[in-house]
Amino acid sequence: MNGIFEWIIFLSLSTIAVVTAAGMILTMSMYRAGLALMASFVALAGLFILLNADLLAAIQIMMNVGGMLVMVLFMVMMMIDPGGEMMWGMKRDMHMPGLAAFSMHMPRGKPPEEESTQEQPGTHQVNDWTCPMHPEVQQDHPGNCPKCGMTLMQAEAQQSVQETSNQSKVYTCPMHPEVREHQPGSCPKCGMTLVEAETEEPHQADTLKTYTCPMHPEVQQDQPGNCPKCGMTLRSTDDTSQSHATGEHAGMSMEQGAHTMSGMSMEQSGDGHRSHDMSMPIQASGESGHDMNISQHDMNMFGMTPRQYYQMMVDMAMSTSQLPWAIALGIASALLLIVLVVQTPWPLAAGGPTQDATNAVGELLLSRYMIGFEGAAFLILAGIAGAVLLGKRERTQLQLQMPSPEPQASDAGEQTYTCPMHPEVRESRPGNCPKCGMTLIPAEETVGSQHKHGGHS
Amino acid sequence: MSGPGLIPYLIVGALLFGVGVAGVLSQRSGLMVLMSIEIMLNAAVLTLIAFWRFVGPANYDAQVFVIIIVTIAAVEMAAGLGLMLLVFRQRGNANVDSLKDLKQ
Repeated sequence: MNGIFEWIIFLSLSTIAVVTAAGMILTMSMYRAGLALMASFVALAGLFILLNADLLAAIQIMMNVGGMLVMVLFMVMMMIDPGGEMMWGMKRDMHMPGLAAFSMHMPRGKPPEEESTQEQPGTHQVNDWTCPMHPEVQQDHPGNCPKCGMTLMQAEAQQSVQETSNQSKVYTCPMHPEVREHQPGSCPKCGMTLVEAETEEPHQADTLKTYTCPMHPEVQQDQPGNCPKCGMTLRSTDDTSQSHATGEHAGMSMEQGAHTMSGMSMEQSGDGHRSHDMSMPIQASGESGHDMNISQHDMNMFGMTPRQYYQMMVDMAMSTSQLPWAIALGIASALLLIVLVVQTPWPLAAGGPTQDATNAVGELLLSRYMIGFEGAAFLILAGIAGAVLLGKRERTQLQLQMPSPEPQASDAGEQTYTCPMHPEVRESRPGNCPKCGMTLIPAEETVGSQHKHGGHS
Repeated sequence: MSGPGLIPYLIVGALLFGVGVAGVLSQRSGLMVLMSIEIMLNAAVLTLIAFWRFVGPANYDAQVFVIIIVTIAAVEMAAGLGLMLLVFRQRGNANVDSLKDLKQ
């Protein structure tokens, strides 16, 4: 009878430990993931008690569960959508039942093309963002240039000016307007990539655009960035209105040709269970028709193009698109371990623990393993010291990024050199900027040129 | 009927380890990766305690070893959380994908 009781407790605790751990990696909320892991730890502590290791169960509760509690608190404070309410609401609006309602994963396949904007003559891909200083930098979402750190602007603005102006192209340096070349290249003075002489105007026009969140239309700002509420990449209002206007057309093309929506369809198996992934590879025509309608409905509901919908899924995903492979590898490693432990003839002992565990472990710690604990204490101290040092470095960087009121080195008779893109960089000798690699120029020249241009950054 | 022996505990440990492997390989957030590592460490701890109980219950060295592992897990959690917090403040997210500064 005692054995059956032990088995019942063992099976219950084991199930809780494994299921909550698995739920941790499948849930769409980090807050719930932390709570699930705490539940798994507590169930493991119960198993420790079942194994007559009471002291370790107490330590498990105090250290691991306590640690996870702190982690969960941090998650609530710093994570976007920590409770997963936004994702949950989306899944509910999409009528996704079962396990799919608990998880949000990276969509698989290539991102869909912006077909509606490509087909119309005179318009360009609205999602191409490029750097005004480095036209070779192109990406499909707003952000900063990886080379010079400037805010990326939409290529459309630059290209529209290229089409409207039929003048002969003249390339100039943003920092040295006296440099005028008939071919693109680098500035002979500072090495910056030359831009067309008329690219100033679209820059100004770009600042007049407003950017809004696809999920929170009330969020409006005049520069690209992330939504302060959900963290999604903001879209320009032109984009949004264009997507509303072309949504019907896009929907029709999706119904006519399933290939245009590859990577957007939602897999549905024969028994009606939807898979965890939000998007799956293309299905057979019979199934995909239904799935396309769901996707189309979802996109119309959010007023998005397929590309924007895909981007939103990428922004919100908790795990990568390789989750099925990761799960397969996890199962394979678990099975391998199980086979190994079952096949190995373990030399089992007959009796149970004889001593009082707390006393025995305490004596061992003091007599034999003190050095190990001192090592652990050293690790803790090293971690704290590392965190303090990193925090100090961060504060120093913040101070450097604050604009200095006036250049002061010139009155001392010494020449200082600075980066046109990073005025906070001050060097006493010529060289390259440590941040973007541009050639440093004398400080006075930067101030003068920035006054001339009204400043880019 | 006696209670569960060594093998059932080892199987639970193996399952937990597999869950941890899947989590480490699939999650985008650095915090979730750390939490998955915690699962793997706990699987190792359960295995160690099971071996102590059924193979050498008279020798308490295994328990000391477990205490050290738990301590290191707590350290890893604290240091990792501090690092991720710093990363989040600097970049606006704690995704592992965004930590590729050395590549540039």
